Amino acid sequence: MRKGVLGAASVALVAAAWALPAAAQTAPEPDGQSLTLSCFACHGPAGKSKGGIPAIAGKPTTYIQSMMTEFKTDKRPATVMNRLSKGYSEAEIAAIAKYLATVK
Amino acid sequence: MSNFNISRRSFNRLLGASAATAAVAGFAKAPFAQQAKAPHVVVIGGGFGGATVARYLRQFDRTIRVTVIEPNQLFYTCPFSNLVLGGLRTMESIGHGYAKLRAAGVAVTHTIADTVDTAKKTVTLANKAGTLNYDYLVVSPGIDLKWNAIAGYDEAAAQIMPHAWKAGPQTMLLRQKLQAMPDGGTFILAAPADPFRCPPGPYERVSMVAHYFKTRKPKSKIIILDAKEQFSKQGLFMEAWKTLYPGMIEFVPLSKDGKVTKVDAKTMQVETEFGTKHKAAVFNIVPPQQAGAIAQKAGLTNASGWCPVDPATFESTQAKGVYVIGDASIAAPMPKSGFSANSQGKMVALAIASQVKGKSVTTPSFANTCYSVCGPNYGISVANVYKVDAGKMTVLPGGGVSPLNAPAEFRKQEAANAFAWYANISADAWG
Repeated sequence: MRKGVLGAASVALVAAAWALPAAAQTAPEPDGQSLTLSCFACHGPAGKSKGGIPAIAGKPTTYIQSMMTEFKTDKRPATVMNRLSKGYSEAEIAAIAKYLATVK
Repeated sequence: MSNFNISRRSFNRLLGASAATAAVAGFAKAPFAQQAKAPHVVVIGGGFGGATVARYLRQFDRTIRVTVIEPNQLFYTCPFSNLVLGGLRTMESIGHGYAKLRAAGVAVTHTIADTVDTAKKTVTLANKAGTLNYDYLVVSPGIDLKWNAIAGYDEAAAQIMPHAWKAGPQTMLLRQKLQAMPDGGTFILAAPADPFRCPPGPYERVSMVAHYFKTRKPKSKIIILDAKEQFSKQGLFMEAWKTLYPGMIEFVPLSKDGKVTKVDAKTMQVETEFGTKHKAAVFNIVPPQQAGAIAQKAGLTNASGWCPVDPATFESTQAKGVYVIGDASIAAPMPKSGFSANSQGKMVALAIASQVKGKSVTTPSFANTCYSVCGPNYGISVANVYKVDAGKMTVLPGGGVSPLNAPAEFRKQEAANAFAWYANISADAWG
């Protein structure tokens, strides 16, 4: 039974990989660390703000990703973040969120 | 890349490095010959660029030895030095020491880098303080002022008409002169043509002087004599001045004979391109600038006086294994700002750490946010993300300046952000 579930999952993953457009398969994943380091100038070393500007270290991936996306699409008003988030693609935002989740 | 991640453990270890570690890495106590195997990075300059690159190198790879050469025991930042003039900050609050960099295992030597031999990979220190061998050299010397580019404006004249474009004693001198000025006096700031350190700086300065006048000397006037037609965040500054300091500030652009070509410190007079003479109670001359002297001596500058670099790595196009960051580098469209230097420093630290580990250098990403404080509750900003596209530093769409006609709450938030930014970037660079 257990083996069957795993087997089905692997098949699904393979199918999902095939379904991706060719570009997404060949394009290298954006480097989350390189993209994120500049954020620390405002959000504090290792994302641990000393106050006034939110800390961003160790936040769940989905939280950072949805915040950045809402800033980028002007769904969430801010001061500078609407302007800065537009400089990153969706894939880059995902990489930033993934990296920040690992920064403790 | 996971081994470059900042884990809590390694970060705490970095911040709280034991005295023993500091001693081993200490400049005088452990001759570098004893640790010949470990790569050695020499960093010239302990400002936003140099301090950042040193901190991040040690964070990425503790086997890398890092030596920072910085003449000052306390580094006074140009960012927020205008707020000292406005009375919003103290001089002490913008001075940063090097104890935490040392605790992170960085050797800091308070001397001047006298000469660089890029073929032999050595840096010779002034006053016979020794010679350092390097595997990688990071040059982050900031700016030098071009004395006599404005006729008569030399170091002696700067004691009477301060530039205050390097923070420290010059900032205090200008503050003293403003304090000694009687109410009803005129303050003239001469602003240079591009490129220069901190493009919005002269206009934030005028805003802070206006704040001081408004609260202490309300009959006083301010004139900006400008060697250019337009300036950074111009619409926003003009809006701020109209709101906060109506009728106090006059802007004279290049086309209205704004370019100061001559100063006479004895008669307290300046002359512009077409012969107009201006008298004032206090002058602030911000002269044309170039890369710090060591960059020129090391053969890193071109005819412009600044240092050409490969934007992807900030490696000098004129010397291999030498990286130039911050104000001294040619990184346009990135401005010459502390934030830019910090952002560039991190990318150079990543590039060097990758090379030391024999890994390929990752795609760099840069950002800059410059806040200008126009009044205690009135801030404006410019914010951009940059990447290298087809070998050129490129600004990405969507960034830019704060909106015009924004509500007071927005301006108040940006002022608060400016203060929070200052605390965080200072900690990011100096600890």
